[in-house]
Amino acid sequence: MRVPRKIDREEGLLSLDFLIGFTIFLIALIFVGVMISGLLVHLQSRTIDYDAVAYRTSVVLVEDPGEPANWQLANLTYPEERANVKRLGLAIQKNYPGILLQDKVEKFFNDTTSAGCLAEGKFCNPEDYREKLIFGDYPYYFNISLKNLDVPSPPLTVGDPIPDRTRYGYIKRIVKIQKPDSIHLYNVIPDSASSLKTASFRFDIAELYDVPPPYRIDPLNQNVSILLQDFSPNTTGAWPNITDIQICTYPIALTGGGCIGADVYEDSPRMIVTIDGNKEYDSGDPATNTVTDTVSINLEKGFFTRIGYDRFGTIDLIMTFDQNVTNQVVYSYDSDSAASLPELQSAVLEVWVW
Amino acid sequence: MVNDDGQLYTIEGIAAALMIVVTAYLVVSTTTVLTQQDVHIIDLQLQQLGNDALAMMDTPNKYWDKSNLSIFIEGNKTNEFHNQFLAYLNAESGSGMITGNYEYNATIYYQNSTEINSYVFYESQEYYRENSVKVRRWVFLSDSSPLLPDLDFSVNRTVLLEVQLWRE
Repeated sequence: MRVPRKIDREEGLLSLDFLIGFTIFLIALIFVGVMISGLLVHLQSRTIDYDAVAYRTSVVLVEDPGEPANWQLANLTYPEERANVKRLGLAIQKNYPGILLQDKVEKFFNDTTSAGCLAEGKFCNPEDYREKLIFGDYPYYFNISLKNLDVPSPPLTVGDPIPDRTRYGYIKRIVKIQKPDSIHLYNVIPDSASSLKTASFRFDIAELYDVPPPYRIDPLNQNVSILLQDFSPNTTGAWPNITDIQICTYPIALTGGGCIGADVYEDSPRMIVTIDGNKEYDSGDPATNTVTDTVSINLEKGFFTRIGYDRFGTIDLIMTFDQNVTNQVVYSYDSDSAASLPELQSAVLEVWVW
Repeated sequence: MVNDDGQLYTIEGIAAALMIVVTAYLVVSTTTVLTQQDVHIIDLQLQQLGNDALAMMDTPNKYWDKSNLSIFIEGNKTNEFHNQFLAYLNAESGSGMITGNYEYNATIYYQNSTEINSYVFYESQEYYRENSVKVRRWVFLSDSSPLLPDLDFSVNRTVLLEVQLWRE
């Protein structure tokens, strides 16, 4: 208590209560100060984050071939093969951004809900897309749509309908889709005019791969479709019979007879030989393999890779008949035999994320 | 002795601290801060779209074909260029709302025997001070173009197409 004209020995002292209170206040202030910057970042990043995720998604789709780059060949009914698909890029190759592969586009947009996706061998919506394309811990909703601009067709869509009221991130990309080459046509000639019993089709992969990927005929990664036509009976009236079909590496001598038969695989990807458009070739029953019109050979995509042939090889598909069918030693599987060549078509890809 | 006047007690200190924290949180969480980055994202979308459109116009559909962009410049086909570029910009998949109304000016830069010259290839509207982006593409010309009579073909057959792009 202050008394005039007397020395106050307690002047300038602080109470303990005040010190404790002030300390707590300071600690709280520092705490708030540290927290504010974090709060602001969180606030600002909301819509920007969605746009960034949409942009990132579009970059993965349009400019990246995915991981592995030939994931379109994966058989999604096997969990191991599904798990092996790490990233769903649609690009044909990393050096050709904006050019999408038709097979990847078809597989990507062929989705189904989570219940039956494993059994049907399709991508699960939305789990697979979130895990292999959108990424991030937050379960983003998305809608990805692709529309062909050159050929009128309904748009391909995966994801949820776009909400009216929520803010979303958006990006539009202009792309081209590669339509692969169509069927390859070859003609045979009658027995009387020919001297060879074997029709050999040669896949010179190294030569085909000289063409840049967007315009390339690619038997390693795409379906191979061959039609052999113009069959006729010999002078005695007998129609040609297929006695054997082999696929071999060329030259055969170097690899020690690396040949396999036509029906070595039961499941996909396999080789399907159809005679006269209606009956399947059966190596076990040669009497049924009479050809009166055409032979079509379909190798499902990934067949050559499955039997271990790569892009450095040359492959011969040798079809043997019981009478002469040709004078040509090899039929070359190349741009000359294709009914139509690979062609690019414009499309627009839009991504919404919210 | 110090009396109780003007003293802050422990409980009051805690209460005050709590009030400050709660107030700060409430204030910060109800305020929307508009940042500069929003504009950057829109710029990025426009720039990406312009780049994509030029890149796809410069990609031939078949192996031996010329790209459309080369054909348009070589043949002075301004209308075709305008139609295709605008078709790409306005392309929609149909799933969402329509965004549109683009304006752009296209200029070609090339080298003649002495200097770098420019030619206005297309001008859809005069540019004032709208928020615009510029996209560029080097275009290879295999034939001479009537547009660029003094293009030095022996030195350089590549011209720079620059498009200034904005939303109306």
